[in-house]
Amino acid sequence: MGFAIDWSGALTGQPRIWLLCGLAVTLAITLVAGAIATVLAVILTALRLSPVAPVRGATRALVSLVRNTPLLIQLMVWYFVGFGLLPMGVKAWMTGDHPWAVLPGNVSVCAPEFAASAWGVGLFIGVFLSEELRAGLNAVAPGQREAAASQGLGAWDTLTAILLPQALRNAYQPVVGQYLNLMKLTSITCSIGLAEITYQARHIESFNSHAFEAFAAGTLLYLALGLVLERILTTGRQA
Amino acid sequence: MATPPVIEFRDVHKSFGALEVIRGITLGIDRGSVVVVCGPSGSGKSTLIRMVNRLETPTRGEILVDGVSSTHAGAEALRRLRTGVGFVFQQFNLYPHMSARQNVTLALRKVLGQTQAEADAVADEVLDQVGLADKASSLPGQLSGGQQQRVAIARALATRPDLLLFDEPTSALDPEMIGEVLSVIRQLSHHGITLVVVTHEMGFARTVADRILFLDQGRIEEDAPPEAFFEAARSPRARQFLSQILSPLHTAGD
Repeated sequence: MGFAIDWSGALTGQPRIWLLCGLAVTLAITLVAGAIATVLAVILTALRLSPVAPVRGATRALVSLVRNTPLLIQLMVWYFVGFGLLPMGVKAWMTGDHPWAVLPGNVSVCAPEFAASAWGVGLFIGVFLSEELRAGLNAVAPGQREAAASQGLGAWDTLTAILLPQALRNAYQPVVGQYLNLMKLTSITCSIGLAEITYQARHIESFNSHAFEAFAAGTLLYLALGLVLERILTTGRQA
Repeated sequence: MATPPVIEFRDVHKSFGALEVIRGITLGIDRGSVVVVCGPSGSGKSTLIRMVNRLETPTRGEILVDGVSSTHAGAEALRRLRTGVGFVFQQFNLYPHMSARQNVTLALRKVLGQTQAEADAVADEVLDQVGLADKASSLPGQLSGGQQQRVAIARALATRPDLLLFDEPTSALDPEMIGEVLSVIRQLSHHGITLVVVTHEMGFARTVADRILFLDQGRIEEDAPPEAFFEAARSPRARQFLSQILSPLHTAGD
């Protein structure tokens, strides 16, 4: 028996539905983890600039820890340990029925798989984003802080209205790169059972052995998502 | 002695590491006066005015602004004090990602809590005052150096301060733009605001200042009205400085 390609094994019937469900979940996890990463990046950047030395030190330690350990391990920790440490009531609520929270493929955004994935990927990329922003901040002219101080602006207003917008402009391309990384890294969340694109491709492989077709289709879905995301993030910006 | 001085230096010292840049200055500046601070590079002129709103903190002594110690003010009191003191920088330090109008309105909204409409009305007024009403929507990068500095002056004026500090406002400008900035400052001198201007523009000092302070090595070497300073400076250092800076071979800047 030779190797023959049969796209119908991945693109028709139930496998096609699985892949489309996976696409919806990948899209959802990318959006939620992206929001978490953005908020954490701003908070971490603010903490890195804190006048209190122990706060800066603790933040630096957290950044080192997250940056220098594998995302796969971190996801396992959040899923198996982090979820287990939550109060009983919260755990019961997350695993309960929430019709409003159900994505295609019967994936609940309240479920521990989705929550641990969103938090894990969000924190991981949030840390990298905060490092990009810090590099961008270092390139902001020192006179900007002085101008803000001379006008009586407080630390938070100075950071959010004056420093971060300029830092973001300085570090724009690396920041876009981190958001694209975030989208691609969501593929690892299949390891804790989140039914996104990669999970569904493996599912098809075990269902009908059309591994090549299933993973090729999955790859093209990531590529399409990446191209769209890149286009959205760089619209109106010179390359 | 009728009214208390708007700025009062009390035996102020400032060191950067081992380098002592201000060596004991005691001084009062009267409300509504126009004071020019001059002196050779490294004499401590910029440090002197940067300590008034605590962009630098004195190592010893203290500075009172309207009777309030800026040196020992807490965070809230310092913010309040700073809104009453406009500061204009040598390098303009406009916010490059904001239009001229937004540069002016930012502190009005964030610090004084004005609405966008209130702040915009103030912005139009102060931009008009510096002759840039038509540039309100321009980004700093689209303006000439002289225009940028005038926007910076408008920004400093927005909170209606009693006191404006200028740190070499024309030193970063091309020569043909110095005049427009000096004429804006000159016009402010008629409005009763206290102006303290660090500058090398001796023509400006002669015609606009009420009082000239000459600094050398962190001390005030001369403190005189302009006629007395230019015609009869007492200290040899001041006479030497004047002969250098007024010579036709002297070029702008330093």
